Amino acid sequence: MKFVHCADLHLDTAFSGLQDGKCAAIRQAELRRTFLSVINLAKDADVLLLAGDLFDQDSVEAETIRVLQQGFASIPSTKVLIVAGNHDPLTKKSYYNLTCFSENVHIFGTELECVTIGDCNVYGVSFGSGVQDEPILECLPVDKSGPSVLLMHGDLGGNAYNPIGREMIEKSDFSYLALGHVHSYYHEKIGRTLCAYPGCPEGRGFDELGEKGVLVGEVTDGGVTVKFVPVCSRQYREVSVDVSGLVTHEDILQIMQGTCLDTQDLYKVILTGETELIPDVNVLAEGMSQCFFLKVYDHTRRPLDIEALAAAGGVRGMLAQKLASGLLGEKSTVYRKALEYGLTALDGKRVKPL
Amino acid sequence: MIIQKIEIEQFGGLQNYTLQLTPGFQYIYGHNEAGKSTLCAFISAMFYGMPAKVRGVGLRGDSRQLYMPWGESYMAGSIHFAHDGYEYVLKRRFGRSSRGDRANLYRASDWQEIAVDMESIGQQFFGIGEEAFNKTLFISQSGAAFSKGREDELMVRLSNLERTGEEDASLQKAITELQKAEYELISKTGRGGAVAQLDSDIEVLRAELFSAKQTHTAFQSVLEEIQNLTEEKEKGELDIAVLNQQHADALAFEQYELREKDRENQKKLLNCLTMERNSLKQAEQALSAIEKEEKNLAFVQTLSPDIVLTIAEKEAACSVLEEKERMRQALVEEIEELNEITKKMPAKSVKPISIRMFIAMLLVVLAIAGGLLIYPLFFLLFIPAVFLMYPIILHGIQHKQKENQNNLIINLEEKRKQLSALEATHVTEQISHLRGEIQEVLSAAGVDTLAALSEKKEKAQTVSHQAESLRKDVKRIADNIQNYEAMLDSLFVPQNEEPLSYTGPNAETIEKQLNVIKEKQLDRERTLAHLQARVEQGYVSGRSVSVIETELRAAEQRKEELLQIHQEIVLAREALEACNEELKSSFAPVLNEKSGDIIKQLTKGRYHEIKITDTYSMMLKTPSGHDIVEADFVSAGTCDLLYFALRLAVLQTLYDAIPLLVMDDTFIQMDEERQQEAFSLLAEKPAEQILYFSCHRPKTDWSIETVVELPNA
Repeated sequence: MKFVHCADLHLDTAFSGLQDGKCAAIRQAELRRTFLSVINLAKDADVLLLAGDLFDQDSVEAETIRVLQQGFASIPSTKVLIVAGNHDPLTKKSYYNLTCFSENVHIFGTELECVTIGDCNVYGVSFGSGVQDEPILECLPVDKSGPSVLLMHGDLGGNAYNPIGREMIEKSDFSYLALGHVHSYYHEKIGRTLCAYPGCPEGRGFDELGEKGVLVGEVTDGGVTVKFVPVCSRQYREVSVDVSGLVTHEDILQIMQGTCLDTQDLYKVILTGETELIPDVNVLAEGMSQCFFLKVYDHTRRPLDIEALAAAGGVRGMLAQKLASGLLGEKSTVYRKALEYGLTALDGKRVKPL
Repeated sequence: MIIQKIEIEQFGGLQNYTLQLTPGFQYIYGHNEAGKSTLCAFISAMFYGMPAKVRGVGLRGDSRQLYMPWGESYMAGSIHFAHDGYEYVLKRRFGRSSRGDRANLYRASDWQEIAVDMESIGQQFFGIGEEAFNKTLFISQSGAAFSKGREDELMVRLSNLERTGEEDASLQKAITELQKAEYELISKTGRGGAVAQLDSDIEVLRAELFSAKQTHTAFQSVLEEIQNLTEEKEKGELDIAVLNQQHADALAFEQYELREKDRENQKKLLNCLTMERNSLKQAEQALSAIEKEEKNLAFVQTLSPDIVLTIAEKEAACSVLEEKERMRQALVEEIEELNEITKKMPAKSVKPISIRMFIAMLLVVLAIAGGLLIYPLFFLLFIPAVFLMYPIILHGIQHKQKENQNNLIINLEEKRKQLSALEATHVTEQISHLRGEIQEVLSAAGVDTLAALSEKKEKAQTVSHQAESLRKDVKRIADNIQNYEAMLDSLFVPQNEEPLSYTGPNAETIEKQLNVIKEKQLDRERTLAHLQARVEQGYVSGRSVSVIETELRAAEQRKEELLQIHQEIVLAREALEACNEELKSSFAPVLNEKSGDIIKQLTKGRYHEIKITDTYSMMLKTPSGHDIVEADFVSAGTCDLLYFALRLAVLQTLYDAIPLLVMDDTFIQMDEERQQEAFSLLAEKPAEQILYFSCHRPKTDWSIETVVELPNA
């Protein structure tokens, strides 16, 4: 049985880190296009496995529903098997129940079911609510009739969101455990079962960095083979730029341009190092407007010898002394910034909080 | 700084005016309106400019207006001065407003113009701003006292100098700058600033999110409704299919029943037809018989309907006539009899009996009364009464007979008359005629009597009616037969049909049920179409939930960042404020001491211990040493003295060498002794150049080196 394994699409999600709705709307549309890319991949497969969190929340746009309906209907010879996850549990008002999908779509209920595709038995079970601290299945079924797959959303080795114990997997005879919930690609062989998370096919924030995709594979009597296939339209990237010694925004921009080469991606640029220049993050972001999205975080410090400053006296020294205790404590960053603001003000320069 | 020459083109009341000056202490005096204050104001204006046109402060408050020459639109002049080994010429022009101001600085040696910021010439050469200048180097005619200004540059400088000599660090400015940055984030009232704006944006976004989620919930309800309606519609289709089948069965059975009825009808029709045919035969037979009889009675039928009546009338007339004939004959016989009788009757007359009658009556009365009242033997009186009454009775009978005889005669006469009348009518002929007519009709009708004629007539009528009736019957039956035959022809009933059974409701009931269900289906389809159209068009208007959530998260995150920055800025400001307090507490004693020394010198020890607050108000110990009073409570002259001492102390703190002192009759309120001390102090040249303007000629014991008398303006 040839399959495409996808999970955690989180359609109609709120994108964190983006500033405005326009950008978010573009990413929404790109997420839908990524879904269609997955559909395209599944055209040559026997089954498309969707391991939960297809929707991000209760509110789903009508356009998204249409895209899903049309997408599934466009691969009539591919069976689409879906389980619901913690973000889109199978409740009465779930869009899984409210939407009319084409005949090739099967949504597993909250009790374990089995669908046979060729020689392979595919088992699946859905989340019935958003909270599932206990395992949905107390034990996994043992199917020795042939190759078998379990499609489920859960936390492998975890203790929340349908925790799945490794011992339970080892005792089962599944060929493949098609999982969803973890947003990064991960796979592990437990006993004779290959367990895999494809990760989310499209990143949604700077906590989901790098390439994202799905798993394409085949289940045979001999075993399971999977391959990671990237499908994301953009990647979230985090880069640090050391601006020590640089004195102009142009200098910083030059380094940024050499670092942020994939302009279609989303960048989080963290400025580090020590410089007299107080970087204006808005000016730098404006200078990198060729990037689809770029946000600059100023983690730079003024080159300060605080001990010398405190010892030198004067108003500056007094200020350093007043803030000295905080500079060594838990909130050293806050005190350091306070000192910088104070010195900037004493230098007669404008303090720009925004 | 040494001012060498002042050249005034026009300024206030001075026009084309030149004043040469020298280093050291110069006492410059002139009469009132000689231009002393004008010269002081000119010096200040040349180095620190003139304020922009100020409205609403009156002439005295607006120096630009105050010193603008009458009828002119500008003020202009130049100052020649030496500073740090170089000589300069500063030319300035002031218009009615600051837009008309110009300033040019030249190096005196080669008239090379030096670029200069018009606003900071004084800062450049004196190292202090205008406010500090007015509090230290320049004492106007308003007096030596001063208070804390907006920026308080002096305090800053003193603070910095006290610690390290940093003159450029403006602590108060820094605090103000941090406060400004703070208020940019969170305003003083807490209701403004970027954070408040973000709060407002967050509020709006939350409301928008709530509304969008509610719309989505409603959208889900719409989808649910579509789902339910679709299921109901499918169930309805199934119900319709079942009912359609049932309807077909019911119809088939009804038609079967109709055919059964037709079959029965057919049988009935056949029976009826047979019966009718039989009836027709009978009727025709009856009709035939009747028609024969009718034929026999044809003549009678032709007679007029009232023939019987006519004959009857004739019969009656005959009877009447025959009766008359009989009367005539009776009369004849009676007349004969009466003739006989009258012949036999006697002719006696009848005697009257009245007296006998009376006596008889009396006897009767006596018999009755006496018999009843007196004695029953009186009843014997009836016997003589009877004997008396016999002739009466007999008389009566004879009277009656006579009457009868008379009556007979009369009667006879009448009878004779009647007979005569009767014989005049010819009764016999009439009777014979009538009888002839009657007989003719009766003979033709074949009857003997009128009753027979009547009977026959009636019979002819009856027969005619019967014949008519029979004819109608025959026609009717023939029509019926035709109808039956037509009906039979129209009935097509299959004969060998399998019997059908059905126990459900009839077709009409099922149709009603079907109509109800179809109506409901239509409603469902309409509702579904409407709901699906809404879904198709995009039920949810406005921005999507996720887009709003993205912006909301971004706003919340930004707010967190700004609050963090605010915290940092507040920390910096508080730290600087703490520094400020600390500095103020440190420089004050030094200033107190310096000022105290000067005051002690000027007052010859009367006042020696003072305390200066951060607002430059002064507290001093009274000569007795027991009390501490504020400077406001001492005399104006002493107050001027105190503040002059403070200015000098401040200048001594700020400068290694005080560049310039310009004083406009500062000591005018002091007594002579103090004035002498003050001028003595000035004679010690605490500054490179001291220009003291006064309206009084100096006293010789003041030890003033250079005295300049101003010409009248």
